[in-house]
Amino acid sequence: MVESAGYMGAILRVDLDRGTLQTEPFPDDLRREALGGNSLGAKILYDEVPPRVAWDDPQNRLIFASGPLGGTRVPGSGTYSVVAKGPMTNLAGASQANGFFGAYLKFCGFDAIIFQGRAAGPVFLEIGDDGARLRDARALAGKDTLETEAALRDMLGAPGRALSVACIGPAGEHRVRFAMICGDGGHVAAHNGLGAVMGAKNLKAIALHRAGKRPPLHDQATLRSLATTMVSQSQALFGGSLHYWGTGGGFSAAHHGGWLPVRNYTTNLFAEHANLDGRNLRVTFPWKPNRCFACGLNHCTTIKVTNGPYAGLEAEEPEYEALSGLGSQLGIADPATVVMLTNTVDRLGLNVNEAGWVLGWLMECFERGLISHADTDGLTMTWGNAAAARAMLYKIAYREGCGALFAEGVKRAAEHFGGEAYAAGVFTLKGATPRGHDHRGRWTEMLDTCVGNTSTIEATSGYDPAEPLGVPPITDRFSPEQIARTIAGVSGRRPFDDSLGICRFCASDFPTLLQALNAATGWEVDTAGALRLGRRTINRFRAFNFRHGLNADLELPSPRYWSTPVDGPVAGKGIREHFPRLRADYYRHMGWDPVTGKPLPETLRDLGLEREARDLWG
Amino acid sequence: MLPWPSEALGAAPGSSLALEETLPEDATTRDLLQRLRARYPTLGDLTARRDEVTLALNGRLLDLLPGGLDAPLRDGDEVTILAAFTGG
Repeated sequence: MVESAGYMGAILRVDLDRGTLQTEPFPDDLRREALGGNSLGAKILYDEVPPRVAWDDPQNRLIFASGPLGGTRVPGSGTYSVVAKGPMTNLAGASQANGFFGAYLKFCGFDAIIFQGRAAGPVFLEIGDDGARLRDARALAGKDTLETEAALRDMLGAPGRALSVACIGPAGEHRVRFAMICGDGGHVAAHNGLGAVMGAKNLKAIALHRAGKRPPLHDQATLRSLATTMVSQSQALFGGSLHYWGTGGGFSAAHHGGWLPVRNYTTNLFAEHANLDGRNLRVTFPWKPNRCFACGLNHCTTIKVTNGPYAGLEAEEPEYEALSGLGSQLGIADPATVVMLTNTVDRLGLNVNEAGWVLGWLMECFERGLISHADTDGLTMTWGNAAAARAMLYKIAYREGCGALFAEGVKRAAEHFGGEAYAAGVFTLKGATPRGHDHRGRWTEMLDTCVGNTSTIEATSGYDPAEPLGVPPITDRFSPEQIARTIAGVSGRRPFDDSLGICRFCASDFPTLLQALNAATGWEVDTAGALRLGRRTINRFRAFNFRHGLNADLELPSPRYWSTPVDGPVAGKGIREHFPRLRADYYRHMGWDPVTGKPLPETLRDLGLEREARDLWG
Repeated sequence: MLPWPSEALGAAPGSSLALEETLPEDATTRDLLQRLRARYPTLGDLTARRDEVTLALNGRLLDLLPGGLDAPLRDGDEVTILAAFTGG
């Protein structure tokens, strides 16, 4: 069999205990089985992290991986995956970040990096044309994420796009459970506290030079033509809304659709929603594109606040998740304030989703008298109080005073207080919070968030046309039968995307994506084969999770998460009574035990997961 | 890949569009969508693209109104077609 193109053929293993670096081969059979990205991460995690290893144990693995489309000049091919056992759920965590890192990883000669062990003091990894080395990071300790990037460009003499950085801020250094990894000016691998895992290893940053190697390609001419097509497709996505208005272009639609989170789910009415829509941001603030590697979209931009108390602030434009999490969720309607809070979260290195749920929960509890100034170190955590929110974010990032408790995330903080305070928390019983949506108006995502195996949605992505995958579409958004059937039917597509080293927004048309993959690698992957590869990833993560303590009791929403909306577009529409049936149906469609959710042995074997079947079933 | 509804209806990329339609008495939202599809063939069947679009009637989700797509429309009713993508 001809060796697959698209790969550098090498994985860098970094032993932080010993301070050693070793290049391992990435053989063809492993490329075909595990592709790259989160699929490769799932395999390494399963093979190398046994159940006794906690998230902050030096023997946890932290895996950074590109994929076969990484660095190939198709749009968005700087995306990379980070995989580890994560602190929010004590189960698998996987997250994708955009920018340039995934492409530069391949230019440096590697498809993936595996970190194991813990360094004696803060270190960073530098890789360039002249090889890889661990370096002393004491000069970077305490710097926020943007300061760290700037300092590394200075230190290494690599300005602008000569360097790609992935790093942690104070939150990661202090092992805040929802710390994230940030790089290239604000692209984040945010879910399940991957930044805390990095901090637990005393790894401050990874700096990749724009080196000279390039991945071999099977059919460069076809791939070049497809790349042009994919740029056009990305610009046309959502009727052009993403290109013209960013993901914030969906903010008002979320309000109209009933899935905008407002004041911690206490209401679904946010009269000022137009203030925070991308259409307003891009006419209010001067902006310029800040495109990722080979991307043709004006999705990511840098904006400048020109008046008010934050005049002069130049920062990354908030995405939808920040506009909701630090805007409507907190009762804040001023876009400049959301820009300031988003910049704060990014610099500190906190996951914006969990940060928004923590702050919103605190505000509700404070307003209702469930907590007091004594619990917040004197901060007046009332709705819309941005100054208090900002101060609390700093306390959390540094685990200072009351911040040490809230750094544990909503679920653990809510458990600490109990009673009505517990009842007010929005979280899954697994331990993580949802994205910045009110999933009471988006049942597909509530199901996926609860049963997903990496602490966030897994089968869905927020836009999941079913018919291109040969699956009957949903015609009733609140039909448990249709939801379970369709979400199980499309499952595998998104984990497959996340194995390729490409941004989802640039991979919207599935047939084109498969053509690009086959042109890069020389493979002949079709839709069925792609879904099978993606489902293998889902089931491998799930097998890992069951070995590490997952059970069906944890795959449920908190009381507030599945409460019934009291007003707005979906007022009175309650999911709670339907959820057990919805989940059981989904388990069944996925080939899992309908009561326990455990993948059945035949399901695992059909996906080539023999070892996982033996480990779970004997 | 089907074009986004606003594009299929002739709107510039990234923009929204307002249309006024005169319908027979007791016409339903389903009738309206079928009429639009006949006039703009690339629109596709919006009743089957519910993963991609949200339909609202006078600000309320159509899914939750009695009769849904098949409830009769009245003079002055406003049907909204919204992109159903989330997140980012």
